[in-house]
Amino acid sequence: MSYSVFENTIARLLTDKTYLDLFQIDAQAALADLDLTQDEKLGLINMNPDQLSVAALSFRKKRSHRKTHVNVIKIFFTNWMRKRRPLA
Amino acid sequence: MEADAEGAVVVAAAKPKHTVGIGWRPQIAAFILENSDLIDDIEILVENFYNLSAKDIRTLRFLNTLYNLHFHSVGLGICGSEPLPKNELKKYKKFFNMFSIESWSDHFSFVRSGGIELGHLAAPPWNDETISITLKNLRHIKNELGHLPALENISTLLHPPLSTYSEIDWMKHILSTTQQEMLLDINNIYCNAMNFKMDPMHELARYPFNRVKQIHMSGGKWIQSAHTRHMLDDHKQDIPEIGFQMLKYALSKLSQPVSIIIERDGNYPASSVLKQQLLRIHQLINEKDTSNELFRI
Repeated sequence: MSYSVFENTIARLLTDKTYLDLFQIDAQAALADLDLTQDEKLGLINMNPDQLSVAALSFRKKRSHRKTHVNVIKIFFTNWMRKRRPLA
Repeated sequence: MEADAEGAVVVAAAKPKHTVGIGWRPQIAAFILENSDLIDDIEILVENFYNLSAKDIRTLRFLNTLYNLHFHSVGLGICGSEPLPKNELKKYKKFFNMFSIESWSDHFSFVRSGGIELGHLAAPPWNDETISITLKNLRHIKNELGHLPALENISTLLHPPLSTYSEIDWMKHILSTTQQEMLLDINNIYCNAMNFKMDPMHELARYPFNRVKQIHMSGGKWIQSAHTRHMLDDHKQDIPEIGFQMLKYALSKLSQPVSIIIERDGNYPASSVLKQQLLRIHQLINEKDTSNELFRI
């Protein structure tokens, strides 16, 4: 169970800016109520902060690009369906 | 057949040749078709053809008449602790049943965890726990799909916490257990070497070349953070000179034929630039072949 929480915490740090901000201000508090071993907490706390910041930025950029792409496709199909289905 | 100065008979070796290809992107489709004489292989990103619409199927069948198709996926998350998504596996199965696969590859990465879809490849900690998770996932894939993907080394900006192995030793452990093939990404080795202050050629030399079936070539860029600069593998730049030097070294270590694929995902250059990169790869292959094509019997 513990490793999946550890993995999820990395995933959250890479994608959730608010959680990353909290972690960078007070890592102990950000990890306090998580089901992690002491070694896992230390592993996370000792991550290179500069590497973490730049990696998180890269993940957030990719995700926002992907979301934008999905939105464009959704808008295209919504408009296409409207054209196919004349308004009553 | 001829004899050399010492009277030994020398024959031309009929060794299978390395092949050269490029990732299929609609933006460079015209370039690909115009330069078919330089391209043997096309790499298809499975996720771009997931729905297998009639148009997708026509496109793939058409491409398959001209090139060997190599399928590449990013969505499995083979090193992740979550069970592999059943729907994804079903889609892969359908996809692979429809086309003859020259090869299939995925990554040494996790892509989701606890409901978070990362949308990109993340490096797991390089330790015994993730070796065991990865092996379990690979067994599951083998059972479901009947075969395993070649696994690709990834680039990472963050050194994974709680790692007890080097990345290469960790990958070697998995590959030797499963007897699996590997996709060697040259630029990912270069990026990780730059980001973690290592010598890229020294790192490359440690890879298990006997497992390599494919090679990826691409370019990245430097990005600046608050304290230092990092090398990002964005696939949007030309292949750097060091990439070609590393490929030359890799070719000298290979005794089996491989497919060398250029990956380009944006900031597309002029056709002449892409063509030059293909020609350079052919040149490196030919240099290697010329030095190896005659052997004594």
